Amino acid sequence: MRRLAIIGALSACLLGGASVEVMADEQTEKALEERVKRLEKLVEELTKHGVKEATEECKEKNEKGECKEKQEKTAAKPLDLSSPGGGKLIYAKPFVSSPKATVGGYMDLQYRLFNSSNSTGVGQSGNGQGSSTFDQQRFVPFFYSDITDRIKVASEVEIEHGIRSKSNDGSSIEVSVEFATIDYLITEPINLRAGIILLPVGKFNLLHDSPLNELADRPLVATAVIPSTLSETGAGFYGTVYPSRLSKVDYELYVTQGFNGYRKDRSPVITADAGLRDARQRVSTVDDGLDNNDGKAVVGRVAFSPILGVEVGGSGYFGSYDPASKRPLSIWAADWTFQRGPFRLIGEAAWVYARDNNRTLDGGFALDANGRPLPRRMDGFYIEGDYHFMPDTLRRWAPSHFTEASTFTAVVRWDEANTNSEFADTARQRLTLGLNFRPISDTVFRADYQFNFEDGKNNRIRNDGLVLSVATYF
Amino acid sequence: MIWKQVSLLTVLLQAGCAALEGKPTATSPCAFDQVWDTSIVALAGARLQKTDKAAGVLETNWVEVESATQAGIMQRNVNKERVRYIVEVKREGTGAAATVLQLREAWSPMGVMMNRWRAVPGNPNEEAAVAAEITRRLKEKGC
Repeated sequence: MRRLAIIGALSACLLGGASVEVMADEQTEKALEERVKRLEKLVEELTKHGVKEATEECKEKNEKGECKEKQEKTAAKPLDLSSPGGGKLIYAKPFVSSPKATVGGYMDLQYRLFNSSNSTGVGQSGNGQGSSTFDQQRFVPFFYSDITDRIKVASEVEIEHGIRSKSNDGSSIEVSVEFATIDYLITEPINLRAGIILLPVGKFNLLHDSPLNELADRPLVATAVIPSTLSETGAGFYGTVYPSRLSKVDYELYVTQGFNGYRKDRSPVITADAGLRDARQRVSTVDDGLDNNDGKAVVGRVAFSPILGVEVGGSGYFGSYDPASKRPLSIWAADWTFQRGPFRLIGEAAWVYARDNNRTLDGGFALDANGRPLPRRMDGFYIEGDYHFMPDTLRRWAPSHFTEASTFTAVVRWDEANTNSEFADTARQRLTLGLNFRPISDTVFRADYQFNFEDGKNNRIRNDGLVLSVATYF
Repeated sequence: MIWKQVSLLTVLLQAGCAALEGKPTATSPCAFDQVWDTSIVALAGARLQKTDKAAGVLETNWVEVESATQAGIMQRNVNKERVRYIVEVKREGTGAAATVLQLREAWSPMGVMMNRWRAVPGNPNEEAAVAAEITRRLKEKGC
């Protein structure tokens, strides 16, 4: 600002001086020319000095990013908005023009081949007939914005099975905002988050993106018991503390909307077939996504990492799911991650208790189609072992395909879930063997084989299947 | 049952306090005070968060550095990384030794990863470079 004032004053002097000396003789003109040259040189020096000063200031403050931004802003040409008909106005949209906004996404594609005549997998949406299908399951664009150093906006929009224009029942396809949060960063140990929040119940729900997972299908416990993707509107706090030199504690604590356990006609939606999935706010058909009762849910997770590669987490959810807000629903979950060298062991266990779900809202018995009481308790767990490797022969044979960033992973996972724990025949187990290849860490080609054991321990029906898939961030 | 859980928690907590074994160390015949002061100077550029001379521990704040990874299939330069240094200065006979540890965290605006910084392995070359810088400065002091 000061520099501009000096330059302005010098220019004014120059112009003023010129008007007075229009009539001057040749000698005076020469002197005037010299004076102009001197002034031009002075302006140039002042400008250079200003740039140098700003660069040194940046260096001193060690704020590389900020400096880069300032330099980019200085160097950037102003937007030409003079011809709105030319379509250039689109570039004035903040999400395109601002270097602080990132647009991206992820998508996947699966080929599913199962040895059942009418299913393409446990927990998958039925495709009516047949046992083999292509499925473009998820297309998820996301947007991230650094509004200021302290205010961030993050969001993800999920389009599931997006090839359809209508679903089987004629309603619209599933498009929903998976999360959309406004974060206000206060300090490392405590920050504010509000919006549609990915609920911290177990670890898988927080890391559910297809390209992050080593197997195509989500664990049974993370689909039937903890209905991933589980998000609700609400607000709360999150943060990180470092209790010792190498250890770290992450926590999240939110107050949110809560599950909705009943339809408008008062019929229940928490069943052994669907688990809690149909009671989620994002699929509830009651009250247009607003709360069905006055009760709010409290949800939180604490994760402790004593050293890099080791983390244990515990999480809890407590709310009510009925219109009168008198029936509590709780979820407890534990998760673990152990990683050493190429080996990784991960897993999660969860327990659900929905009080009085085996009773109708009028007090009678609530039974399913098989005459079994509706579930009050659910539980499940998974444990997964991964081994990362890359044969040197492949790197030598095709170095452009098998780079330093590429890796193969061999995976084995055991799943168990029971969506009505008071009965054995609602239990399901699954063993999955997988091999995948990541040309880069954000893209994965997977081949999985599932051994599914349905209908409980006394009468197992095998419904094994092959799932080939690809998923990538973009 | 409860004792098993308590002992497991104790083991995990102790792991968090583990010594910086195997990390790059600048060993010098210089006195503890000189090594301590030199370590502070060598960490110039990062703001110190903790200076506990009695315990011999220096800790810096997080400093953002260039990310070693790119994001997504288009390999965009939008990922971030940050580092924090811990230097432990210990008396060794008449001299002292400064051991350097780098803690590193990564962040990406890709999907759920945008919600939080996550711990990643530190860079051993950068740890060694800081230890070498302490050694160089101590040698300049002639001890």
